[in-house]
Amino acid sequence: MVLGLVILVFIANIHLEVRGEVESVDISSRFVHSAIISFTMVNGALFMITLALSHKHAKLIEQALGTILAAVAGVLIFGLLVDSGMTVAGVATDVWSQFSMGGIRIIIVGFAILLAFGASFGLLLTLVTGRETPPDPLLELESASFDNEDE
Amino acid sequence: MAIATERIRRIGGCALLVLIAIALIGHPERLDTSIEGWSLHLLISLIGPITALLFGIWFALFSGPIPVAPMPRNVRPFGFALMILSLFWFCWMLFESRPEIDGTHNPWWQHLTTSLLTAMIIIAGFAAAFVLVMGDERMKESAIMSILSLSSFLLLIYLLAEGTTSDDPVFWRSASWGALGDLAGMLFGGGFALMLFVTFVWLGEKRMGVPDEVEPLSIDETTRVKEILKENLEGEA
Repeated sequence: MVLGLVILVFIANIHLEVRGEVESVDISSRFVHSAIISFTMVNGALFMITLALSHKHAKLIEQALGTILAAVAGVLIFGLLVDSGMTVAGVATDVWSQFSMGGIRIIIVGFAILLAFGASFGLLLTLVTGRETPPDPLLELESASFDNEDE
Repeated sequence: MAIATERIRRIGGCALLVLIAIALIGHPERLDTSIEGWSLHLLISLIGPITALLFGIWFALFSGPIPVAPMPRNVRPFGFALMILSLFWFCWMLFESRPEIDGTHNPWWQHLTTSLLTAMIIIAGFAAAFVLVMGDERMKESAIMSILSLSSFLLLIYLLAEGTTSDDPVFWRSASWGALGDLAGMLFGGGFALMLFVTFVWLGEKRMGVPDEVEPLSIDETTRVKEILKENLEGEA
């Protein structure tokens, strides 16, 4: 059902773009920019977490080196793509403007996802924990009573 | 760094957080002079409905039949009322009062709204399926989650078709189209980064090698161990 609804949103947008009712939004550029910027930001965050968790007994050199190199590679690939002309419309075409605008867009989408998670699962938790159940009959029994004559 | 266990590192992280906060608060220019300022303005504009939502969830959750930190039972309807207030507040902002500064509309509003509604369709839909599969006769909860998902879908389609008083539908369509690209890109890029991280951890573990063999106990150590065992096991036999 969920996938069906998302596909319907896609179809509605494609239909509107074909009819020329959507402003020029190059979705492929947006996808590629978002993917590379997300990749860079996640690797940067993992690098910082690795540094925060490192201590003298931990051998985290592969993690630290790998994540920082991946983040640098992400930035380099992004720069190459922007220089080769794959830019997002409505923003200055220099690399920094494209990157900073993409970064803010991703932070806002991330915030929206967080908000949707909080609202959905907050409400779900409230509903799930709200069910009244009869008390457990085991709770009424005496505990550690070994003087029962029936035994 | 701010949550690190080592004291010096934790102090450094907290100092960095304070510096970031000072930089934000002490920013000399107005929020509407830069695109970053507008994003901050958007978050500030949403403080009201988000606070109502969080307090609503808190009140309704802890005034229910749970054994942990219970609140009085009559607080529960107030919690749900706060959640409904949050929803109406958001809808009022959406249809009547788009965030603005001196008549200039916030440029990030449509991006946030379309992303939020799309994320809500997916997350609430999966939550409905999850509670139905994993829960014990949770039909009511699943139905409410499905309604949430479908309502978000219908609201998004309404915005694409009719728009709002402040914005023509064409802008909503462009925002939705772009948000779909961003969401898919985030999913792909973020997922790929996590997979790469798992690979780095695996490589690290692989290179660590087998630990050296432990030397057997010396005569002194064996004697000491026997003494300790004797002390602790005395009288139990």
